[in-house]
Order: sequence, then structure tokens, then C-alpha cells
Amino acid sequence: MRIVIGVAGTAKNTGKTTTLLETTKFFESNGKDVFLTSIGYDGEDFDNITGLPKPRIFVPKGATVASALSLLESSPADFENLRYTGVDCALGPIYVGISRSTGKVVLAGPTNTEDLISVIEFAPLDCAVLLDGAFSRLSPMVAADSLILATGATRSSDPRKLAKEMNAIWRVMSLPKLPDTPIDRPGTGDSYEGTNAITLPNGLFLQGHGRKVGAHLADDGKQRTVYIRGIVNPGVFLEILEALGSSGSNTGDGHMPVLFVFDHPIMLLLSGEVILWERVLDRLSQVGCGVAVKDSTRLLGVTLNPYTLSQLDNGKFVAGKVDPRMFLGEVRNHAKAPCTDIVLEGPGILYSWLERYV
Amino acid sequence: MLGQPSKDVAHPKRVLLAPLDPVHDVGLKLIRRKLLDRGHEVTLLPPDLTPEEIVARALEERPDFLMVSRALSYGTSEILAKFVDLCDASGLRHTTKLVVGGLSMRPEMAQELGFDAGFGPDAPAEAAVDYVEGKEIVSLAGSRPQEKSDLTQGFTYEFFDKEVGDLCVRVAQQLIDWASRRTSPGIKRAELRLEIEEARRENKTRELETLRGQYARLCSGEVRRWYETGEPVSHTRLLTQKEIKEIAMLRDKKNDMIFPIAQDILNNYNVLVQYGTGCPEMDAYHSIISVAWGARGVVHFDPSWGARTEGFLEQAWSHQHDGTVITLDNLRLIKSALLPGTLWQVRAHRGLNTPETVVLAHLSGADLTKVNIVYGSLGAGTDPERLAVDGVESMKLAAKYNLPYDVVTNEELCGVPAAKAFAGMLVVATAGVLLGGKPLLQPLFANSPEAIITGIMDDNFIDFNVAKMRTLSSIIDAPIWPGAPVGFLTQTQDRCQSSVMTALHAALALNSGAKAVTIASSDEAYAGGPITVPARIDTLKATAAALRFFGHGGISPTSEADEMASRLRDDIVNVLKRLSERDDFVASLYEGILGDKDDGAYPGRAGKDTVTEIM
Repeated sequence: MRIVIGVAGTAKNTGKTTTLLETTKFFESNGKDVFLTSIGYDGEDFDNITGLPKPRIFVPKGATVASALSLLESSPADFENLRYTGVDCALGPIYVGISRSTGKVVLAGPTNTEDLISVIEFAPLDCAVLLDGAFSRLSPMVAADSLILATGATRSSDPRKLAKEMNAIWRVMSLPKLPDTPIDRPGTGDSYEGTNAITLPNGLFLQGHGRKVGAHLADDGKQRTVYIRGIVNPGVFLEILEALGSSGSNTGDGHMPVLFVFDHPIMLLLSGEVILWERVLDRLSQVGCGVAVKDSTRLLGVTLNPYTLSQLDNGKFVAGKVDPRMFLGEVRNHAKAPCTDIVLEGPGILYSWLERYV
Repeated sequence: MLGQPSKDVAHPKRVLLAPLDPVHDVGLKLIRRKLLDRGHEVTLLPPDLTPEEIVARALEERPDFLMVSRALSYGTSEILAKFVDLCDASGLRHTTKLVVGGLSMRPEMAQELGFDAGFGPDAPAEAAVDYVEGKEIVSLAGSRPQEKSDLTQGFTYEFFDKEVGDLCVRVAQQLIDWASRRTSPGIKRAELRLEIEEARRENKTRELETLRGQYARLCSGEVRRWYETGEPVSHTRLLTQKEIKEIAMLRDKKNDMIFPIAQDILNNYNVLVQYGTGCPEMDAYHSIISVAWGARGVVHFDPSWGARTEGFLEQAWSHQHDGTVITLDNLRLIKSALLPGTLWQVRAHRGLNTPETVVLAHLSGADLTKVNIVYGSLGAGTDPERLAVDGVESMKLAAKYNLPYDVVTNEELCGVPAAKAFAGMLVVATAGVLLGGKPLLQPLFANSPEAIITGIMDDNFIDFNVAKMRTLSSIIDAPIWPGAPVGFLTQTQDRCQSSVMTALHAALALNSGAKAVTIASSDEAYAGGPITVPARIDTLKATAAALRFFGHGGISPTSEADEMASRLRDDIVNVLKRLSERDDFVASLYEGILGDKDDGAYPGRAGKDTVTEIM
């Protein structure tokens, strides 16, 4: 069975690479083949922005890797069976190859969802496809069956604040799935046609857009389902709920409750303040509306990195650290998602999240 | 802000330009103009739109390319990554290529952020146009001249200043005549080296052994011990086969390099750098990197003990301290790795192995050498009589092998006034011309002790250096190659300050008629440790920037420069007159006419009493 696991971060320097390396080790030690690529660039000796040393990426012998050809060719892992994926990136054509020995590799893979899905097709049918994230990028992770989120003190050194954000993400990623939703309606603009559905093919992320949709829902009172393709901003979505709330449309005056259907929970995490979703989802319940996603990715857990980063007056970056044990303890006390610090606790908890795949 | 196409292209593209920046959109405006000139349809959005607003606009227009600009920092990189996610999740990337440009941007950074391409400050606007048109982006890559520059071409060596010329010829002829009746162990070893290499080439084993025995008997110190016992000279070891193989790998890959285009301005000048890490492999790396960053040539520096010890080693050696040991194998290894078009100077210079160095320079394919009778005698520890004999022989050999050489005035660094140093340089260069050679004048282009003591550079570093250039240019039609390196005693341990000083001196020299300059890397002037590659690049980049800054605008000295030049010329004439009256150049060196103890010049002792008269 081929399973696709993404390692994404909430910011740069949150420990994605460390998590990826441990995940790779887990599958290697359990005899499952690994296919590795990145949605950005990773494995370099020094960070492109901070100039600080980075963890190197070592692939085991026999791993399949998708990366820019020049990087595969210069890797001591000695890749063979090189095949062009048909996808190019900023560093040239992306090839897949199989490592003849354990060795360091720099990953530069497909940076958008469509290209990523094409490249994953080159993975063996029975393997663990591991997607290395970049910065706080999440969008291509819709191609993953499961996701591990890396966060830490570079995102916020306040453990409660961090837990709050994790909870919002966990809640969004846990939205119920309606896989048969007919969401693929064609069109370039909002469609109010039909008797009971509105489709927003270009998402909902521009201020004012929500008010317009909300006003229509309130006036009409017939639409029961709103399909929203693409990105949804919580602040803009709230405009709909405010319009519905103020019109009393769902308060027993004959209007039907509305079901909002999104493409994928990740589409809710790309624009605006993530923590606002807690308020939005609470409000949805209050006004009697439902919410679902057409497709989803399972969030397995969150890895925590206690390292901080600060920039000096001379522009140089220096790494610091919060107390790892206290940081993890505080986050764990307030977070709903399972979390671990791999360096502090060892990889056991991470491995327990992955056991279902071997 | 919709731009209208001005010319037709076969397949015009729709390009949306968006400054993801509160204010700056200059780069995008330039690209807009270039794209319009090529006939593309271009829309430039106003600055300070949110990422969401840009994406919404792009979804309306569905351009073929969406180009954003943003100066990069830790915080803004997250904004750019977020923007890429928005484009991806909105489905925009099905139809639209994402491009990012801005300060600090590099292809690796663009890849990490998720863009399809990225252009940094070194990329010209044409690179973005090439990308839009699906062409190979060749305009990002610089080029380096494949042909070597001839530093002496077009110079007649005619004296414009007849009085100076007549005096120089008279003194130089006396030096040549004197030397023609003498020889030294250095000259004999140079002859033996040629015979040894010929015997080696022809596999004449017995003859080779005999010749090496004769050679060894003319050596001294640890070099002689190596020939006799095989025990290495202190702080040296043979290069490993791995190191030799790695140099060969450099040789094989040197044609695959991409050069930074911003340094192309240096292609118009002859900027040389010095190497001499002690390790031929590191020297090869340093040389290639320096030329990649715009140097037109490299200068081989050998260990200082090489000047005071009779004889050279054989085979390929690594030296633990500064200076790379001169052997034919070392030189050939380094030469094999040099990029095409690299001028290569092997300095015969100042010591007891001067003639043999010219022979080895010739055998290893060097383009230039260096002969310094006066500096070597008064500032570098070699006995004047010995170096005069060896120097004249070296100039004969250089003429025979068609190797131009510089004649330096580094004794100025000891404190010798420029007038005395210049007189010595002019006499030696004149001797070189009389012997059929092509000398280059290498005045010190720096803040010399003379200038510090007399205060003539208290106001600026321009006037006295320009005065030197004007003086020499008015005396003789010969190439001037200031150094070596330029900027001595103006640099500090601070890499930024040091690079600026080097760059300004180089720009001043090249704007004042110099044919070439030698520069030090920023950490070399006051090196307390190894000379690093980043420091080399710093200095070359600073020099390119200074040349870009001045362009053809020139640098104007004050009226003091002409007065200094006039005084300098008169002082040179006075020194030459004293030399002429003395009628014995070597005696003049001992007696201080070209620099005495008060000046900081001391006749050297290495090789004393080794000169013999030819019967």
C-alpha cells in the first residue's frame, strides 16, 4: 500500500527536517520503502535566509528520491535508474532516482499541488511517500493522506498561544468529510443558480465577499448548501455568518439551515488568522449551520521545537532556546492535539503515530 | 496600469507584475518596459496590495506569468510562502507561472519558497524576459575572456624624457657589461635544471642521476639535505595521490562554470590576485574562484625561505605555512587547473633562485615573471652583487623565452623614497629592454612610509599615487602595473574597510593609465590566519563596484599632484646622475645611492661571496 505523509511547519525553523528524518528512520527500520521529496528546498548545509547550520538529509540505501537532477547527480548517495518526472522546478528538471548507498541529499521537488501529485505517481505502489514541507506552506499537503505538523518557539515562545493555534488547526483538520459532495461545478464566478445551492468557485478570501454571499442567503432563504472551492478566509467567512445572524434567517422564521462544504480543511488554513476559526466554528453552531469538507488529510500530531531565532542589530541570526521540558509540558496541558518533542522525549511518540502504516 | 504592446512577438504573453512591497516597484517597472518592448501584454499592479488581492486580480486576468517583487528577510519570506500557497490553492498555478524577484533572491531561495523561478539583484531585466519567452536564460551568466591579455602590447619603450633616458641607458649598460663577466651558483643551477628536465624527458636515467648530483652540490640547507637523504624540508610534505587527482578533477570541470555577470566589468581591465596558500590544490581552487569573480590573472607566491636557500626541490609538495613551494611539478599542477584566458605570473623576484625560476616559469607555461634586483638587494635580504648577476641573467632568459616581467619598487615599503626606488626600477627596466626583454614598471601604489613621514598623503591617497603614474608615463612609453598589491598600509583587519581601500586604489590606478593592477584579498593585508575565499570575493566585488562607480568619469587629483610629479621627476634625475657618476651600479647598491640605512634599506647577505668572475 502506498501512503503519503506530509511534514509541514507553522513557520520556518520549527523542526520539519528533524521530524522528517525520524519519520524516514521509522519506515526504514520497519522494512517499508521510502519515497522522499520536498515541496521546497531542504538538506542544504546552511539556511538560505539565516545562514545558520541546518540538519542534513540522509537517505537510506534503496530509497527513491524526487529532486532536481543536478542535486541528485551531486549527491554521494549515488542515485541510479534516474527518470524524468515531466515536472520542472526553479532548479531545473525533477528526476526520481534510487539511492545505491546511504548518503546526503538536497531536496528540491515540485512546489505546487498538481506537480506534486504527478511526481508522487513515480513512487512504488507499496511505500511510504514522505513530503518535506517548506516554510509555513501547507497547500500542496492536500496530496497527503496524513500530516505531521511541526511547530515551536520560533512560531511563538508563549506555549499557551501556541496551543491555541494548534487547537484551531486540530479542529479545522477534524471537520467531517462528505466525499460525495458535487462540488466540482464549473464556472468562473459565484453561481446562485438552482434551487438550493450556491457555488463559489474561486474561494472566499476578499473582504466584502462574505457580506455579499450572506446577504443573498438571508434574502433568498432557499439555499441549503454553499459549496466553496479553494481558499476560505475565516474573517471573510464570518461576514456570511454575521449577515445570517442579523437577518434571523436561521432562527425559526422559515429559513432552512445552511450547510457549508469546503474542498479540504487545508484550504481554511491559508488566509487570515487561523485561531479565528474557533470563533467561526462556534458561531456556525450557534446559528444552526453545518460544515463539512469534501476531502481531508489526517493530522497525526504535532512535533515541538524549543529553539528560538532572533536577529541581531548587525543582521546576523542567532539561535536560542526556551526550557524544552517546561515548554512541552505547558503546550501539552493546553493542546487537544497529540504532541511531542522528538529530541527531548525521543521518537517513541512520533513512531506511535506512524505504527498504523506498517 | 495596463501597458500596451509596442512590437509584435510570435507568441505574446500576458504578464501580471505585482510588487508585494509597500513602496518599491522599480525592478518591476524596468521589466515592464522590457516586456512591452518585446510585444507582451503587461499589467503592473500598484504597490501595497494584500496577497489575497493580488491573487483575486490574477484569477480575473489569468496571466501566463505572475511576477512579484519583494526584498527578502526572515519575516517577508513567510509572506512570500503564504502567497505561493494562495496561488496554488486557488488553482492559479494550472495556468500561471509564478516568478519572484528582489534583493537577496537566488534560485535556491525561489525554490524553497515555491516559485517557478527567481531572479536576484545580479540578474538583468532581460533574464526575466528570456524566462517569459521560454528561452534559455543565458543573460544570467557572465563570461570570462578566453584570450589572455598582452600587457606589453603597443608599448615602444621609447624614452619621452631624453635626459632620464640617456642616464638610464648609461647606467644599465654598465650593469649589463659588469654582469656579463660573472656567474653564480644560481645561474649554474638554471642551466642544470634545463639539462635535468631534458634528460628526464628523454629517459636518460644515468645522465639524469649525474646532473642531479651536480645540482645538489650547488644547493644549500634543507634543500641539499633532501637531495642527499630524502628527508623533507621542514613544514613540507609530498602531495598525496588523492590531492593530485582532485586537481585533475578541477581541470576536467573548469569548463562547466557559470560566472557571476555582475563581475563582467572586470573583463575590461587587468586585475590580478596573488595566491600562495602553501598547497597547490588550494591554490588551484583560489585561482579558479578568483578568475570566476573577474580576476584576469593570478600571481604565484613562494615561501620566503625559498629566496634564501640555494636550490629548488623536485616533485609536488604541500607547505604548511604561507607560500607555495616552487617546483616544476607544483607549477604544472596549478597551471593545469587554471581557467582559459588566465594570465599566470611566476615570480623570479628577489632571491637566490631567480634565474632557475625563470626557467621553471618557461617550462611550466607561465605568461609573466618578475625580476627585482634593487628590491631584492635592499629590502629582501639578498646580496646585491649576487642578485645583480642573477637578475641580469634572469632578464636574458626572460627575453629568450618571451616572458614579460615586472620590476617592482617594494623597497618603498622599507622606507626608501620613491625617487630612489623609481631610479632603480628605471635602470633595471632599461637593462631589460637592452637585453631584448619586455619589462613592466611596478611602482608601489600605496601609503608608503615616505608618505607617512613627510605627510604628503595626509589629505588624500590620490595626489601622490597619481603623481607617480604621471611621472613614469612622462618618462617612458612602458606598461605600468602598480602593486604589488595596491593599497599597502591603507588596509586594516576590518574586511569591509580593507576591501574598500583596495578597490579604490585599484580604480584609481586603472583610471590613471595603469595597464594592470595586483590586488590583495581583504584578509591578506593583515593576515593573522589563512586567506579565505570569501575575502577574495569581497575584494574582487568591491573592485568591480568601484570601477562601475567611476566608469569613465575619472578621478581628479588636486593641483598638488602635478607639483609632486615635477619634484619626483627632478629627484629621479638627481639619483640617476649620482648612479652615472659612480659608474658602478652594484657598488651604488652597497653604498646607499638607491636607499641607505636611514631610509630603511640594508644590503642583503644571502648569497654573499658566491659570485665568480668568468675567465
